[in-house]
Formats: sequence, C-alpha cells, structure tokens
Amino acid sequence: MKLYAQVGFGLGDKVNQGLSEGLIDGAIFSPKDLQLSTMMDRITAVRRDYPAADVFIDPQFYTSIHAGSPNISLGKLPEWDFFREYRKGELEVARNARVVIERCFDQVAQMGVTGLISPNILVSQSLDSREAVIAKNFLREAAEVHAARGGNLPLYASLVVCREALQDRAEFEEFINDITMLDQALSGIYLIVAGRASDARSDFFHTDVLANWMLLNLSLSVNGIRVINGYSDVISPFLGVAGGIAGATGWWSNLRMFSIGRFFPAGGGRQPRIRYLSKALLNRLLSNEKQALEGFVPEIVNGLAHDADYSPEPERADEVLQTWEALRDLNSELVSEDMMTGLGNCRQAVERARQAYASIAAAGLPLDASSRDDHLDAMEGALEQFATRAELG
Amino acid sequence: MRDKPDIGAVGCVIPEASNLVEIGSGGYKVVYRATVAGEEQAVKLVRIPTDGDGEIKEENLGRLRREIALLSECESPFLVKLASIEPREVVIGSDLFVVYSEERVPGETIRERMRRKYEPSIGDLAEAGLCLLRATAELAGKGVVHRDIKPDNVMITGVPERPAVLLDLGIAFQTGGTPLTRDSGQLPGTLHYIAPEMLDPKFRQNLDHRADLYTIGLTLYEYASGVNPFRDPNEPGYTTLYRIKTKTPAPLVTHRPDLSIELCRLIDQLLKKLPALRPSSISSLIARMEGLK
Repeated sequence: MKLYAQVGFGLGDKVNQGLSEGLIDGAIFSPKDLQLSTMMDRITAVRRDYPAADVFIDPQFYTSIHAGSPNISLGKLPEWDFFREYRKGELEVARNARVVIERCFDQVAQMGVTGLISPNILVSQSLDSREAVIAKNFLREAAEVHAARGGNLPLYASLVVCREALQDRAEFEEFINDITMLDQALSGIYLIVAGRASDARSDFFHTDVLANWMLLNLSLSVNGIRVINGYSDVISPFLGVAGGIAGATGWWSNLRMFSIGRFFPAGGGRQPRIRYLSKALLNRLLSNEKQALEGFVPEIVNGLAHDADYSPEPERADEVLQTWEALRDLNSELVSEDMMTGLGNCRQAVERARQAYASIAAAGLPLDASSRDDHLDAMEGALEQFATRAELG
Repeated sequence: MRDKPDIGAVGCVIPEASNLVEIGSGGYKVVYRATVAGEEQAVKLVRIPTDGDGEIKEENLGRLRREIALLSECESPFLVKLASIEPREVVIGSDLFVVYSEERVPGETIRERMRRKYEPSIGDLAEAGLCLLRATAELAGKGVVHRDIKPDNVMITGVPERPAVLLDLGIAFQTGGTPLTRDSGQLPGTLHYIAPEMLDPKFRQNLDHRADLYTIGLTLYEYASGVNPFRDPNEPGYTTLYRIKTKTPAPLVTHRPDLSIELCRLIDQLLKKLPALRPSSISSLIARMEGLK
C-alpha cells in the first residue's frame, strides 16, 4: 500500500525529505495552502528529483458551497479558475458540474501532476440526500469528461462523505450498490471521510464508520476501482487490507483527519504538542509520555531510524517524518495480497496494542486523553463487522 | 401448472406439431417436445390468467409478447432461439393460452448432469461460466435481468460453437422500464436461486444484472460441488430465504480442492450478498474466466 503526504500549510522541506528517505510514495497538494505559482514550482521540483513519485492536487471543491460563509478561510483557492461559490441548486444541473470539472482538469493537468483528482462536494449528512445525488452526478460527469478527453493521466474521482453518512447501513449499502454501477465506469476514487472536527477522535474511531470505510474500499476495489484514501493516517493499513491502494497523512492534526472545520479556523490556541506514533499502540503518545514509558514498556518504541529524533524531542518539522516512517512500516506489516491474512494481521495488531496498553496501565502511568486506548474497541469491532459483512469467514 | 390441459386437446389446437411429449412445466407453462416441420422443437403453452378481467388479460398477454419479442431480438448463441411456431392465442376448454415454439436445444441440463453425479472439470466450469456470462452480457445490454438462471435452465450441448445455452426467459425483468413480470408482491424466481437483493421489498427499484451474476455463481457452485448451499434437508423450506439472506456458503475450494483457487474465489465472489461486493463488469469477468480455461 502506498503512503502519500497530505500537504497543507507549512510545507517546508517535508515532502522532499520524506521522498528522499523513501518514507512516502508521493504527495497530495492543497490549493488552499500554496500559491498557484509556488505549487507549480514545488511539483516541478518533486517530479524532477523524484520521477517515481505520485503527485496529485485535491481541488478542495467541497468548500465551494460554503464559500460565502463569513468565517471561511479559503486561502489561495480563489486563484483557481474552476473555483467560486456555488449553491447546491446550481450544482444539481449536470451542465454546471461538467463546466467545473472541465475547468479543473484543464488547470490541474498543466501543473505537472501524475494523476487527476476531480472536484466534488461534501455529502454532509446522509447518503440518501440531495447532496448525495449531486456527488454521484459529479462522479458520473468526471468519468465522462475524462473518458471523452482521453489523455494519459489516471482519474481519481473525489468522493467526500461525512462520517454520519457511514452510520446508516441501509443507505450506505444502497449508495455503494449505485456507485459501483455508474454508467461510465470509474477507474479510481479519492476517498475522504469527514468528521465534525479533525481532533474528534471518536468521530473516526467508531465501529460503523471504520467498518463502512473499509467496505467502501472493498466494494470499489472488487470492481476494479483503485482507491486513494485521503486523511486516513493510522487507519490506512486497515483500508489497505480492505483493498485500498493508498493512504495519506500530514503534519497537522487537520491533515491527519479531515473536517470541513479546517476551513473555519478558530482563533488563538497554542501549537499542538509533539507526538510519537507508536506502531504497537496504533496511536500517538506525547513525546514526554514516550520518554516516560519506554523504560517500562519498551515495545511502544518502533525501533526505527526516526526514533532517534525523540531524544528528547524532534523539531516540529521532523515529527511528520516519524509518522510516515511508522505508517510505512505498519502498512508493510499488516497489508497483504491475501485479505484473510491481512485481516488476521490487523486483529493481531489490535491485540498487541491491548497488551501494550495493559502494560502501561500496570506501570501506573497516566496518559493524555488522546493517547489512551479508546480507539481499540472501535478497531476491533470494525474488523469483525467488516469480515462479517464482506462474508470473509 | 395446475389443471394442465389434456395433451390430446393441446395437439388439436397445434395441428402443425406432432409427437407431443411433455418435458417440463412451471406455474403457468407446460413445455412439450414435438416434431414441427420435420424438426424437433420445444413447444410452449402458456396459460394467460384473466381473472375474468380484460385488463389483466391484456397485461399478461403484453408481458408474454415482450418476452417473446426480447427473445427474437437476442443474437447471442448462448441464449435459446425462437422456432417456427409464431406466438398465437388458443383456447382449450374455457382457458386462454398462448402457444409458440423455441428451438429444442439438444444436450443435458446441468441439473441432469448433477443427478448422475457428473463432476465437472475446471474446463467444464469455465466453459459453462463463459457461455452464461456472454448470454447475460446480451441481456444486460438490453436492460434485462433473467432472474431464473439455475442448473435446470442451462443446457450443456457438447457443440463447440455454443457449449452451453441459457433457457427460459419467462420471468425476465426490464430494468428502468416496463416490467416483464407483474409487480405482484410475489417473489419471482425459484426458491433456492433467488438473489439476496430480491428479498428487499423495494428490489424492483434497484435490481440490475448483478442478480444474474449471483445466480451464475450459484449455478456454477452447485455444478462444481453438487451442493446448493441454501438447501437444508433438516430445516423447513420456508427458512430458505433466511439462509439466502444470512448464510455464507462454504468456500467452493472446501468442496473441490482439486479446482484452481482462482476459479473457486471468482465463483465465491459472485455469491456475495451485497451486489456491490460482486464484480459488476461482465467483460472483466469474461476475461478472467477465459484465463482460467
């Protein structure tokens, strides 16, 4: 399974470093956070220095129906020709969707990307809604526009759904039955699951959400559709086991998990604390927690090169390198060509995490709320639910 | 069919057919082998329920005409063809029937093969699978779902140009158009061969060719293993639908470890309850099946 950098504000040298160390396979750029000309320069440099790297631009069109909101921060998005505020009613018209897609493809193709990600809106509540109809229409139109134009760049049609939409099983199943039978077959999907807030862990670490996220990957892959999972962070290997070809994560919490709230920045606040992604815990610890624990529960340390950065604490810019390194390793350990083997690997990883957390508890060391083991029940439940509904025995 | 007409009476209303021998019957239909214009044909006699109501009569007649028209349009050699008796209404006693004929496809149905414990090779299975997929491709291209693919409706011919032929479009369903069967609330199909999505009361809104891919998978599974995974002699018949909805068949390889794992997995994949988890592209399936021959 491939791992991509989810690029946002504060790019610096991170992507180049990740590529040079072989930690990531490419990058997904965000128009909001880079000037058009800067983005083109950066993509050109990446393509020149790392010709095997995959490079995409997420058009972030899902902000278009919120673009009139007074609190929104669109950054550099309005520099792009295809972007403006739209009302849902406008986007219900297939012709308008087609114009947006054509303009997006025209501009993005000139940026030197290795694949196209098409625009789409966010399905913010239900898969049986007006928004879902618009989203399906965008998928259909994107495939048609792409097929009509030919060209060498593979298409990944965006599908952006809120986590609530993954909680209604009947609607979800009807939706995936539909999108696997679109008139014009899709070759790839760029899939984002949105929570109410990027740091709302319970939004993402929820049995039904994770199980259906995995089922989406499976149903699409069974039908020959390659799935890139945006903002999938530590969930990536589970999605890889279910058939996804790639996951992505970045350096801020809002690049690890997606929320439309990313475009409505809250004022103030302090910089997030540096964290360490522990493969054994399937979760991050604060760097001081890692230091305190490693003597008592040595298995929480990955034993990888970037562990050395945590003596005592890495530069903020280097934190993501440790994330990518740990995730790359987790992907290669858990994801298998054989789905049953992969599922078994994931179950073992969750069990191993439980044991590690039990050792931490035995050592009597308290953890920060987001370092705790709340995610494990959801992961375990999701694996079982996924296996049952996919009839994997 | 209940209250089947006397075969002598049938012969009287179809004078061009001789040597009539009943070879099958369903809810509203009797099929005879007969000699017509010097060749053997399958003569079909279909009762048209009228319930004393002209509108119902016209509706049922219309459906049958569409089925026959559909057959006449199909070019696939893997679908049964119409023969020389053009459809016409006949009255036997007080009942209205339509009579027409189809080619008599010589051979042995998969069911007949199973009865004599024939164990198909990987080549047999791939060949039958390819013919069924190609027949389904033509139907799907016309927006039609067969809905009754089962071992009884697949004739293995031994003829290289058409090794297997799909019979009986009697309950075919037009997606997104005029239904070829009545929206009666009754489940069309044969109990052990109903696709899980058809158990959804709203299935007519969403049905597509993946229901046929499921029954192709089931037919091949049963052909290979000799077992219908949803038939349970120790349980009452009415629990069959529950099993169809909930029971995952044992992987085919557990019945036939001698077959290739790829073929077994492909057939297992077609049997998934959720249509989205079945590969939907018939052309891709044909390519995969070709690779397994």
